[in-house]
Amino acid sequence: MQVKNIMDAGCVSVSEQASIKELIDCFRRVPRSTLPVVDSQGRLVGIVSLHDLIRHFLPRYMDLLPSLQFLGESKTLEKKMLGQILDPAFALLFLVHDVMVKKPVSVLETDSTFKAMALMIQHNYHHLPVTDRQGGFLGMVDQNRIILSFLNQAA
Amino acid sequence: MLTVWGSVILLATVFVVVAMGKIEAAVISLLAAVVVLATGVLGQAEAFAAIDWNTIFLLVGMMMVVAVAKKTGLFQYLAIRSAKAARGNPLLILLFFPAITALISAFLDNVTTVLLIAPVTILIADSLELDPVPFLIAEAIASNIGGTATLIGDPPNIMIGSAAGLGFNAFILNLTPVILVIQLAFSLLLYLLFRRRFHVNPELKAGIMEMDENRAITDPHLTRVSLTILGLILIGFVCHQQLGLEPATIALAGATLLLFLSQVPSLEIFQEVEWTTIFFFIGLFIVVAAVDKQGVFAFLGHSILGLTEGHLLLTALLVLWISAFAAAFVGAVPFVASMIPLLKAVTAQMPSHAIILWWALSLGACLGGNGTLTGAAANMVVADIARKNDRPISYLNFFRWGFPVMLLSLLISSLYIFLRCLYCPR
Repeated sequence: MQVKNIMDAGCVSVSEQASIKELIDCFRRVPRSTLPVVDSQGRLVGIVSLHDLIRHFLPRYMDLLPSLQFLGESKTLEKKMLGQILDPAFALLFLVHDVMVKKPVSVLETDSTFKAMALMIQHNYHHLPVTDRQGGFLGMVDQNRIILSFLNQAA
Repeated sequence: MLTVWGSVILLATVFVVVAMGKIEAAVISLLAAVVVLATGVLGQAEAFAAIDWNTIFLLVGMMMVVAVAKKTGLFQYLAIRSAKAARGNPLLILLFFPAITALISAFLDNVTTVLLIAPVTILIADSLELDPVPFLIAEAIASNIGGTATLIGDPPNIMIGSAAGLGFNAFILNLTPVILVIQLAFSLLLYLLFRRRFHVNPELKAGIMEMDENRAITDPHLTRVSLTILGLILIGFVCHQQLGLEPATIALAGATLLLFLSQVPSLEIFQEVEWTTIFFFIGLFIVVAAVDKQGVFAFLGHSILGLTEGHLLLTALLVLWISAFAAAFVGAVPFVASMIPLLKAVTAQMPSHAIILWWALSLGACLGGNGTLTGAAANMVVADIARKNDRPISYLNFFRWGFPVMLLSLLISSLYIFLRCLYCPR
């Protein structure tokens, strides 16, 4: 079976030049955890999720701590991070381009679903973008759907 | 004649390249060593014999112990516990954290110490809505001061102890007291400069009190094992001369025992050893030995003695101040590696209390690390962490703090050397 049989065609995408605020608004509207990011020509340039957004704004020093279990309510840290993400002045400094996963793994619509499934597992993607041969964005593949379809083959 | 100048130029090249920081120190050092071997200036056996394996394995052993210990979250526990003891008071934290850093640096290497304390420092500073930079710079400076106190605190001391036959207790008796004075002076300086600078909302201080330091410990069993082994290693160092064992043996024994008892996969621990530092040392020892073989250091030693006419105090002060500036601007380790054969030549001609020259070298080379941002690896690590967290520390910013503290510590050290020389016969 080919990817084009199982993908979600023509789903919402977001521009790499969009602001963080626009990105958050998009996630509020659209019930998806990962959005494809396209350039002005509609070519896939990245994928972005709320996870990536928070990852970008979480302080770097936290990576160097063996455990964060000691944290208390941390209202100050919350306030600081929210300030960075939602402050209009700050938000202008960051674009979707800055928080997205660049050069994401993707498949062609003519690739097999088996290959797509294996790639998703290997790279830990819950949603895999699909492109045409020129890199133009076509749609997304959902990990649950593709695994279930694979398992249903036996039946 | 060619080999004399050739080897000197080779060593000088290592110095310059390391100071410039563009090419990795380990790479240039090994390259220079390979030149020495390939041109036959030293035979392979000769070269390998010139490597101070006591220093190498003492470093490796302690690096392994630290690699295990830092998994436990123990250091974060100490930091948060003391921040809470300070009740979130920034001035007290500014006094406590560098003091803790200095204490830990005396026993563990400076770089790891600041790597352990810097992240939690930024977190606490952020929680108090304070600029973390003063705290971070103070910690870097304190790590260099504390590291000077013991044989194992700083690589220059390990090299000096090994070459001059000075044991762990010798360092405790001769250097720890003056370092305590310097750390106190530094704390006093911080107090005087910052006592009116901090204004923190009590609500924010309460936020600090909410942190649960007990949950910072990731593995209580491993923590107990690590602390026990650290304690045993310390006892081993204190008794090593009675036991008839060299420091490297103690460190390796502790490291392997810890590996065995903790059951942490050894590959994980071996990967955490700073091999770049180790290979840098290996190459350096070979190049220095090549220069030494030509009699360069013996010659320089005689010249210095001629200059100072065997006046012990003058020679000691010269060594102290020159070492400090060399460490600050060129790099402590290459300088000390070169000074060791030089001082050996000098002290051979002087009475037994010329041992003060070794203490002068140690104080100068270690304290000199505070002089500039590039003077010590710990400074650069702190600057790197600060930069990654959007609070960059510039060369100038560090210099404004580090250099005066270096001068202060050198003045105290000079006074110490002066007082000691008063009590030795000329």
